[in-house]
Amino acid sequence: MRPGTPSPELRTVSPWSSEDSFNGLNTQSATTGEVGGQPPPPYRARSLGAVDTQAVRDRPVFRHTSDHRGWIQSTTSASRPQDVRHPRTILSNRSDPRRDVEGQHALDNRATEAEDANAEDHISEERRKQLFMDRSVGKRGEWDWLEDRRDNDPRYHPATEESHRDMVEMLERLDAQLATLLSQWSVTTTLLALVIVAVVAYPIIYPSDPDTHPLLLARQTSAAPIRNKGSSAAYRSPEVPYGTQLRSGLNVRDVGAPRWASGKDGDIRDIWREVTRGGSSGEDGKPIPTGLIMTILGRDEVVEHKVEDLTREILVIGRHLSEAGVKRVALYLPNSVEYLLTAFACAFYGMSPVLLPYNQPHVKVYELINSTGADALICAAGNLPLDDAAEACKNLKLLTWVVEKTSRHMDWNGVPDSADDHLKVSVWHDVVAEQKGTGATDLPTNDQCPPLAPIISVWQPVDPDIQPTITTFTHQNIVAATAALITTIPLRQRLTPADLILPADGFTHTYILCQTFAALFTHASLAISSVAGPGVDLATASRSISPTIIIASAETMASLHAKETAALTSMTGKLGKYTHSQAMSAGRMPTDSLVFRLLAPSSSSAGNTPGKLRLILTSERLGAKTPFLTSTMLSDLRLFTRARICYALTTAAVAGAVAQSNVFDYRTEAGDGRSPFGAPISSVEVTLTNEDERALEGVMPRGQVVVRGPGVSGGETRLVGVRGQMGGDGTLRIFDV
Amino acid sequence: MDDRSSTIVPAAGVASIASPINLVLLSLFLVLVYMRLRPAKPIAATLLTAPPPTVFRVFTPPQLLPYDGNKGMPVYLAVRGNVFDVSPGRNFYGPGGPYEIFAGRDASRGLACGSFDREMLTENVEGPLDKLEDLGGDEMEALRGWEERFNEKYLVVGKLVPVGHAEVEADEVKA
Repeated sequence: MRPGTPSPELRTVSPWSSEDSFNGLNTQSATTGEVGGQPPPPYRARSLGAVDTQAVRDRPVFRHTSDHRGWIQSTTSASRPQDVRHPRTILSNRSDPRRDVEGQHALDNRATEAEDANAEDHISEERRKQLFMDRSVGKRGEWDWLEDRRDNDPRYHPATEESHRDMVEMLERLDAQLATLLSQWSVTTTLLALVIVAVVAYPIIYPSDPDTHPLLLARQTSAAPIRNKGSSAAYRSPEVPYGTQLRSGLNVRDVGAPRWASGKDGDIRDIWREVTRGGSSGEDGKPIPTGLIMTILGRDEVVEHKVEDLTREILVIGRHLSEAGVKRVALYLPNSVEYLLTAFACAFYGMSPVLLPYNQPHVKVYELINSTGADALICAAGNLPLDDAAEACKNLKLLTWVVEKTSRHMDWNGVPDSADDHLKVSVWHDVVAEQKGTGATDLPTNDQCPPLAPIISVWQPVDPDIQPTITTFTHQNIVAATAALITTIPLRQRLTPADLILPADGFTHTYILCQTFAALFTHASLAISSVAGPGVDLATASRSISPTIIIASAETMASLHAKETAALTSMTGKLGKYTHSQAMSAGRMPTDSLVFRLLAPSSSSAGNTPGKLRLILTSERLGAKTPFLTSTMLSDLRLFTRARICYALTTAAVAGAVAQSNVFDYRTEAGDGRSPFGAPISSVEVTLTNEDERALEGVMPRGQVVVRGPGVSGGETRLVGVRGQMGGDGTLRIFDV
Repeated sequence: MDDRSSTIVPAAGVASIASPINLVLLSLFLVLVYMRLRPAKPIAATLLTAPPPTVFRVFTPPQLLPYDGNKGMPVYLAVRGNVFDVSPGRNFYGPGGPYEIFAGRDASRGLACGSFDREMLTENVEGPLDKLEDLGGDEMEALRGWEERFNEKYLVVGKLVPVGHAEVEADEVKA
């Protein structure tokens, strides 16, 4: 017997004695036979009366053996109920050298205890071995179910291990803190939560797409697959790729011709014929819209012209000019309807209009008249002194004054004596009024018209002392440029009959003239303002109308930019500009939300709603020493005017433009150079030449710019004073040399 | 902890507005607003660059010979002085194709006569070009048809001139 064990006499009986569980190692089926003793008494519920605790404590502890002996009284140290401990609660017993101190699994305790128990029970050695083998195999004994129940019952596991305890404690602490945090939920919290949800959900519910696909802006020109040595490939608009013909005309079909017939190129006469078709019903029965032609007089007055009256005026003036026997008609007028009527009259009657730059010193004008060989002059009344003009320009046969309404009471018919024999002076409104009743209003057909004469344009730099470039354009040049300028703008933004177009620059510049012809050809409404000129203020030019499209000069845009940047001082204004720049760099045109309209009202005065300004077409005149627009300036101008801006590259020898930037291209580049000009328009193709072959290899060649096509006077021209480079995205960039 | 927080209630309004949860939500709101308003890096949309354009050059028959599709060279053939880049039709004109005899050669006579015999090709590449004088109307008609088809389908990348011609370009030195 081991020390500490009570004498065999002090055995207590208990069916619940845990010591029996030590003998869970009795895995073979045990016989519950009668023991060398009584079967354990049945369990009785506790009585509510006083309990004899000592008697309870002194109950004998029984344990069950799995062999024939059954229940026997325990003789181990745990002989009393209170001494019996669960195997897992038994900590290491240092007195026993067989036991490990740390990390000892309770089962090992059980094993040793069981062995002790078995030893005291006089279990034979082979029996013990058998028990051990069975246990290691995992054979379940008769009473293992009881053990499993006990293992899973939490009441028998008074305390968890240390680490479990810590984690549970931490979680409970966290839970308590979270509960206090959320317990302070108030109205403000609800508001904040709603605001956060709104900020997160708004871009999901209202996603905004860029105006055009960014990959379309990544390659804007189509390059030819073949090039000659010393020059790059020919770069063209994607509308007219390599292998197709460049756009050479307006594709006009005769009235009776079937729909599928290919049209002819046409000329300027066809533009006015198209204008006269407005109001009648077209081939498919739908009425052709009429475009209004109006003149802005002074501050408030807007005069609308009827197309039949204008047609009659064209015929009258044309007859008047051709009867005088003139071949070249010089035009020294501000923007006015008479300007356009003269151009059309010259087209119908086989004369050449000479487009003189306005607001030049008189001497310069006389020089130009003489050098171009003009023999008729149509001039705004009082702009040129009659005597000096008659003296300086001996070739003039006819001088027609265009008198504004306020000055019509004066007599403009006087002729200076020195020029009496060869010079005839007439007054526009008198000529028109004389032949008012007579004369047909039908335009002559092309067979009845004399052969076409070219249009002569004078390209004058800003400094009047510099010699101008005089270019002769055929009708095909002008008409090809007009058609190309119509189709350069994608369909969504193109000129429509619902637009009101204001040319805010002189008609002398072929870009403005071709855009005006484009407006007339597409039946858009046209507003002509006489104050329009190279440096005009946009607000002044668009005083009493609300144009949707403005054709402005680069000087106008540069001064507008300077003015608006100086005026942008408030923080809200700057924040508004910043937010709008974000929208633009994402490829969208910024919209004017209510908040920004309140905080930073649009200070731009151009274009008053309704039918608000949507597009500004501006051009860079190469060689004219005008200020150019950088990429950041264009981006800022888009924000100031809330309109899209197209920047076109124009030069003296090319009708219309060489290249025009994409209307949806809002990308900004840093730098002080000119903003990239986008793709060439479809009436020209651009090639870059360079002596150095290495500059031409690759996809970004650079060199001198050569322009070819039906829009170029003489078929081919070279841009002087600048070098060009084709950007990686297919946009033409120009640098001063 | 709960007792402590309930005892500290000096100004109920201020405490309730500046409560920890409000501060947490406010900071979350500020972070979200910053993320919305910060300048977005623009997505630089780049397309694969197209291959650089071919340079138009003047070929002599020996210079044209290497362009027969072997060793990774493009497939060229010449018809009446125009050199066509028929690499898109490599299955036909390249090595292993039915018309491979014409690759790198003057194919005018062969196409006119509709024959793949070796006699159709000019034997002496150093000599003058085949003038096609002895071909009849039918053959010239066929040749015109071939030329039209080539002009529609393939790119003209050069001109074929005999050796010793004025426009001959010197052979490029391979680096």
